Amino acid sequence: MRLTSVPIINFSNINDFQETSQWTIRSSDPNTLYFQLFDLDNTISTQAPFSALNGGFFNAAIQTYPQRFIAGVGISNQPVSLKVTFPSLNIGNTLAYTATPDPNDASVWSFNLPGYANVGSGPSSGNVIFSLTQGINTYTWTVQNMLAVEMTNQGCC
Amino acid sequence: MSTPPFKPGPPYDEQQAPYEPVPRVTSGPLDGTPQPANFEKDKQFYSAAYPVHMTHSSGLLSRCEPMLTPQLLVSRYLKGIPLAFPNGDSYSAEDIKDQIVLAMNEIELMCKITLSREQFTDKVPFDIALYKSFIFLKTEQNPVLAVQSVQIVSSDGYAVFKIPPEWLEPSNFSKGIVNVVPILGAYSVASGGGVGAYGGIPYLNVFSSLTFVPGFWQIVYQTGVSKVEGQFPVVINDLIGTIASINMLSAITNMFLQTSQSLSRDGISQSSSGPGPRMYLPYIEMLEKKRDTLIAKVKATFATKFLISNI
Repeated sequence: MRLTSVPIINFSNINDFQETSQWTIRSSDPNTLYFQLFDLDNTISTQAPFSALNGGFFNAAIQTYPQRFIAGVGISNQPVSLKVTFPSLNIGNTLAYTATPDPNDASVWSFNLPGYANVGSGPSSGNVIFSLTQGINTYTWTVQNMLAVEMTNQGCC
Repeated sequence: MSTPPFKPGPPYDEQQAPYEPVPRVTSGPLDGTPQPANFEKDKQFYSAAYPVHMTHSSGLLSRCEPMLTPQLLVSRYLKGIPLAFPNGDSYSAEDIKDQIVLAMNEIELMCKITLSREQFTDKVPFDIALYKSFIFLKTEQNPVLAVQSVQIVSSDGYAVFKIPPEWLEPSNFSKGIVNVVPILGAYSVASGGGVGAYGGIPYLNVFSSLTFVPGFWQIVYQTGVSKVEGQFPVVINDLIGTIASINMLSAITNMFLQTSQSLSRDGISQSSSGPGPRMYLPYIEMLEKKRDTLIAKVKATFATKFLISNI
């Protein structure tokens, strides 16, 4: 089982949201970020297993699509928790948030980002790391370039 | 049932073996192994990474932006070009994102720079000519954003002598050049941080009679094209987009097999002709010229091409 996450924008309810390729935020603004879990090895087609690169690679040319993954199904998969980590070279700047599942569909999760006064102390553009713990098992995966953070003053960096 | 510990995977795990000495040197002043990066404390010049040496910005012109997105790449370079193949394949947003990552890695190799902020440890040789030129040290990676330490470290990780951070001249970090300018006047008046407990200043004097010692200075430093993690100069994104576009267009243009087609029946005929595999070749050639120019400019901005010394 190889899990991945697909970012979601314009989430209204479990029947009304849009998938996208990455979140784009401004770190000074508070945000609630949504994503959906998918199992790359569990596709709706009987063809060869889903071609995945780096833990999160949907290839539209292959007519298969992985099924969504609902975490915490069954007693052995409890308790369940999910951490979202924005890595940084500075260990002190590595930010981790605990996500919560949607009450109507546990494949959709969300977490709140506070607004950061300093762009350097907020999450950075790039890869995002997920860690799902179900019972005694932990699954970790990385999604390439899942977050883009816009700066207010773009004159230098 | 206890919850297993959070297991973050690479790439941001704290570095472990294989480069640490075995057995590890005791912690304290004798420990010469690199410490975790701390950008707030490491020595750096008080300017932006890009534009080089800019100290304040009006904010009226955008020079930095997040990593190139698939939408922005198509908008800038591939408008009007169907990213599809005759057999039904096409470049999805995730495919383009992957091409962007490939292009970024290509740039890091070609320009000898790191795009994201990373920490490196070099062992630079002792060169008497450079030693007399305020210990001119050239790092292997560019451009340097901050230096954690410049030390003389033995091959098994013992710190023999540490240059005080106050002596490091940061104004040429952007070119990968670290100079040691002892503003206190001379080594002889140094105290405290400049002296390692394992030898110190007398140790330095031993080497002043030599001309060359390999792996002498150990520099622990951070590189990257931006001091704000995840941000990139617009020109770097321009280069990324150019290379990714070349790679995608090169695959697509070869799918145009026919240069001419004709159909006739009875007294009626129809024919058409096109560029065939040269469909996007003029545009690709233009992008290649732009790529070469940008690479030369990026290398000139963020790296030193030549180093001359007397060895």
